[in-house]
Amino acid sequence: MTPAIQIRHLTKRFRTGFWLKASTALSDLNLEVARGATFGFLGPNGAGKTTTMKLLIGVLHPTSGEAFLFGRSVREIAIKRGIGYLPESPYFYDYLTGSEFLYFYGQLFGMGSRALKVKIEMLFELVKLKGAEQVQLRRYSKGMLQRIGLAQALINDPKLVILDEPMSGLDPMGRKDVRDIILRLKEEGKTVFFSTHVLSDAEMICDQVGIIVKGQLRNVGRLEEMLNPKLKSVEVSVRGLPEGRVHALDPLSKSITTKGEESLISLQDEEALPQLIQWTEREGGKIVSIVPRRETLEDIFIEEMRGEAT
Amino acid sequence: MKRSLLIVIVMIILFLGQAQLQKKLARFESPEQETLLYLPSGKYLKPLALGYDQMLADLLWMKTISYFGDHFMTDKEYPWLHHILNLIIDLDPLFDFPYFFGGIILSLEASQVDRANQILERGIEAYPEKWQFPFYIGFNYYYHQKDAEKAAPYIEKASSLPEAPAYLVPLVGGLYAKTNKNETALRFYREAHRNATDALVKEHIQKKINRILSGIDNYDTGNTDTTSD
Amino acid sequence: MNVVKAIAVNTFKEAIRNKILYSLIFFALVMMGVSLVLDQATVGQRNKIIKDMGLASINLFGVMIAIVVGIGLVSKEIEKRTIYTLLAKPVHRAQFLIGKYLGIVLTLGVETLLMTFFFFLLVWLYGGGIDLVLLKAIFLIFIEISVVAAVAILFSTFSTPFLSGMFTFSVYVIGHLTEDLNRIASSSENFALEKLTAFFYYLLPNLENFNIKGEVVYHLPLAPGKILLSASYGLLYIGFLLVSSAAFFQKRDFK
Ligand SMILES: Nc1ncnc2c1ncn2[C@@H]1O[C@H](COP(=O)(O)OP(=O)(O)O)[C@@H](O)[C@H]1O
Ligand SMILES: [Mg+2]
Repeated sequence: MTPAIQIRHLTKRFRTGFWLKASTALSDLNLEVARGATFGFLGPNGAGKTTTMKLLIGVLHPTSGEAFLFGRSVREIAIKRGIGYLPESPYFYDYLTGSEFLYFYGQLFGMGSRALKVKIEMLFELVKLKGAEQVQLRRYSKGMLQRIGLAQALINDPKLVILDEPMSGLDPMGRKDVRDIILRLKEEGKTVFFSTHVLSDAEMICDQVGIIVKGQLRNVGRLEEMLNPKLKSVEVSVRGLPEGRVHALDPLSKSITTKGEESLISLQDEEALPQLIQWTEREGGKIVSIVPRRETLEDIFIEEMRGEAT
Repeated sequence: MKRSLLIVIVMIILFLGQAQLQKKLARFESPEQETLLYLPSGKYLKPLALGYDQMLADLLWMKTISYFGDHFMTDKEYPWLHHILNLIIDLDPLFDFPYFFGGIILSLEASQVDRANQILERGIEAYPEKWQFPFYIGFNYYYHQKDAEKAAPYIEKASSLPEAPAYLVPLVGGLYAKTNKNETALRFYREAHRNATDALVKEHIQKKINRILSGIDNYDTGNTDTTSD
Repeated sequence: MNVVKAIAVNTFKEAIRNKILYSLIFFALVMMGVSLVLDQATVGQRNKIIKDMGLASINLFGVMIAIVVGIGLVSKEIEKRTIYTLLAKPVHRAQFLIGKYLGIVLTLGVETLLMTFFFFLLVWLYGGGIDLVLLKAIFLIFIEISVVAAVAILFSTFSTPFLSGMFTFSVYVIGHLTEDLNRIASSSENFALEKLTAFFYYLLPNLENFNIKGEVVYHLPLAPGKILLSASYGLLYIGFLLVSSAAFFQKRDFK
């Protein structure tokens, strides 16, 4: 089976400024996203995420290289029947009401008006915009626009959904709603390709990630494989120790920070933990909390960025 | 509430202020200032009209009326009248009023008989079938320039055109006979009066007729106010 | 075809909801101003003047609206980035342009119709009766403004709204001058100038072809087939403009 997305040697240079100086936004990108995957496309601002997505949609033309969706070139209009796209900070026809807008976009797929009505009602429910159907988009808040944008991306029941920063500009409730929708799409077997610079969002829902920095893909793979399952450290919070006594632990720990009554002791691994607990009891202290720390996406990300700097 | 009242008051003050200044500024412009002076010749104006030739002609025509009115009430000098009329004709040759107006007013009021005739010649070019234009030319030659020889062929031509009144023929005879000029003049003017559809032109012709009737202008003795150009 | 229709209808909706038709109020005001002036200067033929002024106003307003709407409705789509999601749907860029254009022409048609109605009402009030010959001139005015709208779209496909407006207005002005320029240049001795004006004469639309305002006001006979020929010329030229626009548009990146 062909992958949902295949990107081969994709390069995009922009000519900007008065002298049309070329700047490279994307260089020699190779990427495959399997069908049914939820792929998080990660990278700092200006890394080339939006550019990649626009190339997939066909609003930008590549300088060189090629991209395929379900095995067909992105230059073919017909492939768009199976695709949904939500741009970054979307803006829509502000003179239309929410339902008129979805109706218009449904017409572009040749959908009949009865089927559309049902679909539109369902979508308003899904993105939690019930009651805003007859409101002009100019009166929608940023969060509402993001939701209606999600709805328009799903109007044609796409096999592949491309979402550019779908959670940006949303409050915590909104972020959760978007996460739920993505998880639901995943359950339905759809491929989701979404970008974000907020790592926790990706960590919670993706099964695959790609990290892009300055137009170059740095790391790509399954999330579990990428994250080191080993513990990075254990952080123990202790209080009630006599002043200065805590430094007896120096040989045992990675670092110690003291703040008033409380000390935070960071251990290399779990092995020293029983010893620490015993010692604390002996000294008349009290364990407040024990938090094991595993490697996060953030750590990988920072590492990639650090590699960039050197 | 108080604030909006204040804003309204300030607005009124500013408005009245600007109106007052405008009044002052209007006084700076001397009434004799000729805006018509800046009009280019029709050759250049016509392409620049961008297809709005007729509308431009209409606007100039209204300007002409007010120009004439202004000077008629003041100095009775009309140095630019023929220029603007020619412009209107350039822009809209089928607009017939400027021919009538120019042909009569330029000779009668502005004493510019040659220019009046030049405009009437253009009228003949645009409307070869209209008897009034050669008729007015002949009339201008005879009564303003005392030139029966030049006048006669035009009157003859007018009498030969469709819709020409029957008594133009004896008028031609009168021209050659050179007698009873007042009588002939009255006939001319009455004919012109009958044909004028424009109130202003009509009024001017009527005044002229009254002058002849009351003996102020006497063509038999040559004592008239528009004998030379 | 359904796609083109949906885009055209949406474009028309945009024009209506953004109150483009309110511009008609200015047309009405101008026409009323004209009739007031007429009342003051009654010398001359009122009937002729009101017809001249009415046709000229319909023409002038039509052109202005064509430029504003033609540029506004296309470049807004790019500037506000609504085009991103639209082109992510199964829509050819050419379909988008044609749909936009048809929506704009529909808007211009409604606008022209309303202006015509008001104009006929005024002529009738001034005792001019109902002079259906005037419709011939209005028909060609409509073709002219449709050409101007297509010019506006062409520039919008690769230029900024402001520059597009300037370019389109220039084409409108030169489009009325080319005939005269060509005539003047061909009688001059300058070979290069002659070729240059001839080039513009054939490249730019000759908008004088659509001007029969004088003829209809004076009820002059038109050359047989003149209207049909002019309209066909207009349609061909519009086709030429739209195809060129589509070619530019196809190449374009939307940033
Ligand atoms: N239209 C454009 N013209 C010039 N440079 C651009 C354009 N769009 C993006 N870029 C540049 O390309 C790079 C990638 O941008 P983008 O894809 O928007 O990043 P991201 O979405 O990852 O934040 C940036 O350096 C940006 O400045
Ligand atoms: Mg981005």
